Amino acid sequence: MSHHPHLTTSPMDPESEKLLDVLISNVLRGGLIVASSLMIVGGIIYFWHATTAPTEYSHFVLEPTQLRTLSGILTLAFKGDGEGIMQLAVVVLLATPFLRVVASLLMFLREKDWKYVVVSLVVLSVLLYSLFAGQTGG
Amino acid sequence: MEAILLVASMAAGLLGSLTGLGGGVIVVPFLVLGFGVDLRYAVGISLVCVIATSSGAAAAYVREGYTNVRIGMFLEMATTIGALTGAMITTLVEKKWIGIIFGVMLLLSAYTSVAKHQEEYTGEPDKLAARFSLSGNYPTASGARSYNVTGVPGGFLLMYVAGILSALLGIGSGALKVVAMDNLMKIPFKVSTTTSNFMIGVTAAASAGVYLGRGYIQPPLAMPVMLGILVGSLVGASLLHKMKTETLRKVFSVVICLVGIEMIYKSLMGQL
Repeated sequence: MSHHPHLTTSPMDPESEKLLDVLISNVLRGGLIVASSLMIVGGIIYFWHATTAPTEYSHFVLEPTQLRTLSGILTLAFKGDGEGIMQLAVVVLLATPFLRVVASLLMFLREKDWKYVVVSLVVLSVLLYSLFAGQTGG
Repeated sequence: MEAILLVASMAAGLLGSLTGLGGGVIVVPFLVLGFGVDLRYAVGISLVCVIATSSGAAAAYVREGYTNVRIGMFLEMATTIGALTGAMITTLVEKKWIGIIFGVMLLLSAYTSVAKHQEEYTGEPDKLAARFSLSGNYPTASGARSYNVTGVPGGFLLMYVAGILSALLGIGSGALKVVAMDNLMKIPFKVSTTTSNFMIGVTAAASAGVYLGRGYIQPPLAMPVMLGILVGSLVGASLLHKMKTETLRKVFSVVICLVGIEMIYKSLMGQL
């Protein structure tokens, strides 16, 4: 069934390589489905309750701090706030590639492919740092 | 306004995937020039859309076996560090300059979308390519076809620049990828396109985190644009096999050129 036998020079056997592909594909698809659903639910709640005049986007105003931190977004979302749920959708979307890298890291660990364990760790730390730096840097 | 944005975003997503230009290159100018949205909001929202479309397309390509996950992970070290650099300096760069760089990137995108593909590389892999086992193969009508990779240091460096530009402009930097992966590293077109798409999600996530934390992402604006682009690009991807896109590509590269020129002009005039 392997219509695409993978990298011949790779230390990973084709079976695991295929498994990695399917795992990555499922992580990406799952994250996308969850994020889109949250976006739709949040959008419906938001526009249902929208009473104020439409927001102007031609002038740059920073988001309130509550919508900028993970704890703030989670608090708002669990209260059923439309904007909070939409922002949670954005967070899930950001977490999807992150989880994809975690999935690859686990596969490379299982395969004892140390070079790519290190490569995955480097990418993962940059992503973590970016989320952390974003949270603290105003 | 949201309903118009939703429909316009669908059209942008459809065009982006049919022409191979990607969502970001279309979303940002259409939000900024078409809807008068501030450039910084547009870039933040575009990054979110880029992650969504990249995840959607990559989920399919990876399964089909075109994507080279190793090349992707290896070059992601360069693009994510670049993206972090870009997100850090974006507040220091004047809006005018971001507009000008964007215009130049549009011109480059227009050119690379109609340029001829490179011949396939048949030589030996270079030292880094061998050490990180970057060689691979991909499915064709006549069975799996294997390939080697070269020019890794140059490609790596250029992908770092692509990461910076992705963060500054909210785009996937597909045009720079063509130069880095196709021309320098000599990766077969199908593989480089799908692998670059695979990397774009992680690259955009590295800068979108910083944008989110700084309050540049507005949920009521992100919602219609993200959903519209996603639906549009999924429809586009399913049409792609059944359509001849050559003419569309040519026509659209002219449009993109004009938009690029307008972007540069408006930036210089201080109208952005």
